[in-house]
Amino acid sequence: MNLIQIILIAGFLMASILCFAALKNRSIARLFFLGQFALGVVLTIFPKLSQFAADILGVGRGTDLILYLLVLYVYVGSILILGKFRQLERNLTELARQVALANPWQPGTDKAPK
Amino acid sequence: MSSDVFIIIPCYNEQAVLRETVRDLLSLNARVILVDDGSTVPVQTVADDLPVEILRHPINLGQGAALQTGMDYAVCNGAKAVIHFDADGQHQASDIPRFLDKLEQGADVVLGSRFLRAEDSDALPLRKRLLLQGARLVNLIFTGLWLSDAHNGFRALNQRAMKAIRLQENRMAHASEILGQIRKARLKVMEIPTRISYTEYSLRKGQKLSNSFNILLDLLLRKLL
Repeated sequence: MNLIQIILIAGFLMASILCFAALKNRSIARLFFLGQFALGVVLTIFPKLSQFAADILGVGRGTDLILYLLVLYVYVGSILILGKFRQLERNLTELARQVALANPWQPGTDKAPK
Repeated sequence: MSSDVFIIIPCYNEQAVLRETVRDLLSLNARVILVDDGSTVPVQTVADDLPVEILRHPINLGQGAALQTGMDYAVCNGAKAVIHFDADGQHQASDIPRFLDKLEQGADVVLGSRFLRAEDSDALPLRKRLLLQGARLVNLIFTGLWLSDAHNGFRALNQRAMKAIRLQENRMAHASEILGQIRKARLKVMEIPTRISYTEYSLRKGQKLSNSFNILLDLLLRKLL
């Protein structure tokens, strides 16, 4: 086994542990990431598999196939995160609004709006 | 204080001119609502001697969010009409009765326009005039409303409009969003000429060209997500 394989597999294992710790109660997200990490480990141990898949799909090299998939993955992932951001922003807005509406300051009152 | 017209003024670090802006409004029979959008120095500390009501966002969210908070407050307090007014002093308090007249005449929403009178549009810097023409076009594409002006923050809404409109764009894209919702709810829109005084202060605080791109991006994201 090459040194790079050991480094990569160690990385995937670390990521899996983090994934378990960070994504509590989110089984689908866990499954999604663990599936990827498992695939990563398999491809690291058997690099020829990616070449095999590339040949079937009509891509020159296995490395290129992985690169193309990575590009696609980054884009889709970014858009999903952007959508999540907007949702969080909406929630935050509603929360801040409720705080504002609950503490109106009117003339004659001394209470400062919090 | 018994009036059912609410003037909503979003403020974010506008202390320098806020008092003057508010003073012009006090002669009108209306309730003035300052929505402090998380200013560094709370608006209340500089305006607590004025007969105004103040709502404060604990964090800065943007002008659209502040307007919506003001409208929520107005609806809860039985407002018959709301006016959207800028804190920086570019709108004329004396125009407000004309907005209310149009509501009486049956409009659901009245928008101020800088392009209905030659003397108003001539007062605009050329670059701004060109930019606004582009913005009109963007509004047409995104909202289907072809208006004489774009992104003029001076508006009046009646009760029906207040209930139909729910701003979700926190930042400046709310100005196009509001038009989209007006059209969707089939509200009756009228435009009236307004003069905008571009003081050095309001130009400095106002929209920069680069921000137009941000607004466009917000609108696109909204369509997509």
